[in-house]
Amino acid sequence: MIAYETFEHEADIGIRGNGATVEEAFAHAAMALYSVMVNLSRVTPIVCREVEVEAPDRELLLVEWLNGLLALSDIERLVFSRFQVIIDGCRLRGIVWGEPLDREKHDAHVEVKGATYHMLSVVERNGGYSAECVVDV
Amino acid sequence: MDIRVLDKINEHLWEIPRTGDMRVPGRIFASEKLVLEMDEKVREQITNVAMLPGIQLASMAMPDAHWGYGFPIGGVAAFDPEEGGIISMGGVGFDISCGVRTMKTGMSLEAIAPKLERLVDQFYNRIPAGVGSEGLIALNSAQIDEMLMGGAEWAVKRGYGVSEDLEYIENHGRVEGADPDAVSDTAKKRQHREMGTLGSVFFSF
Repeated sequence: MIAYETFEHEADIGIRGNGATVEEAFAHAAMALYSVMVNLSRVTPIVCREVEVEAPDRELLLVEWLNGLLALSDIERLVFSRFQVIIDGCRLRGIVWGEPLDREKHDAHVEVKGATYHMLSVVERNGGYSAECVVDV
Repeated sequence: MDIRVLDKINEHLWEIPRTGDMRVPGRIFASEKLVLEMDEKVREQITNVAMLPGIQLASMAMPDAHWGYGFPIGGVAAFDPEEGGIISMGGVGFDISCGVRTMKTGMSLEAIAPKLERLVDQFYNRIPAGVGSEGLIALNSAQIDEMLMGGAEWAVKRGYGVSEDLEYIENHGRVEGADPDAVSDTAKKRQHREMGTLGSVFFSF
């Protein structure tokens, strides 16, 4: 199973994270998200931040998680490449690593403005979990 | 799009007849050539919009219609609140008018045409856009609140436009009773460095 991938959606781009657990699928979805914006392999994980979000169900939690990351990236001008996710009921705590955005070094292409509810799903698939949605670029 | 399922009203108007849960027909304003080039998704989305509560007359698609989120991009519909009409937060998507501007230059096409490519390059160089772009305008939190309340009038006062510009904007580009406290601190912090930028962008001409 591929850890993360993007898929075509005519107006925007879909992102998908797969994992053995929901947490891993969410962490991989975050990698898919940043892979849309930058070349992930060029992001050195030297700065660590925490993101905490809450939502009534796990689909909405995925959107909150991704939008929480985007807000943090925007405010602090950071890009992230490593993600650890801990989910406890309606709460998610993410520990993320990255570095200040360098448009040249990171081969920045397109900016994601937000994760959306479009094609939003968190489902069991192939004995693991798959978390996906369309992101607004 | 398969043109055989459409009724031709005239050279530039095609109808998707009412079927199933459609409350009104669908209408596409386009030449035969444009309709043939349109995605099948446009027909599907126009049909879906025609099912929404309170829709009036027709679910319409303009000549540029292409696949969006709920509506196709280029989709037009009017809803009557008296008939339970809906309000959609993101009909065609979530960034309507993403950097699309029409400006009157007072110059003729002949004068501009030979320099069009250089002009576009200049736009690209001068307008901050894309990942990590930063504007030249830095506002503190009190100024952000003033901007949120003042809208386009605020921008004109600061010299980013002329008062005539306001005449061409709905409600003069200002929402009466706007409450900056309704915007989260996170959202304001995001705005801080993005004033005067276009966000992400694909230039097309």
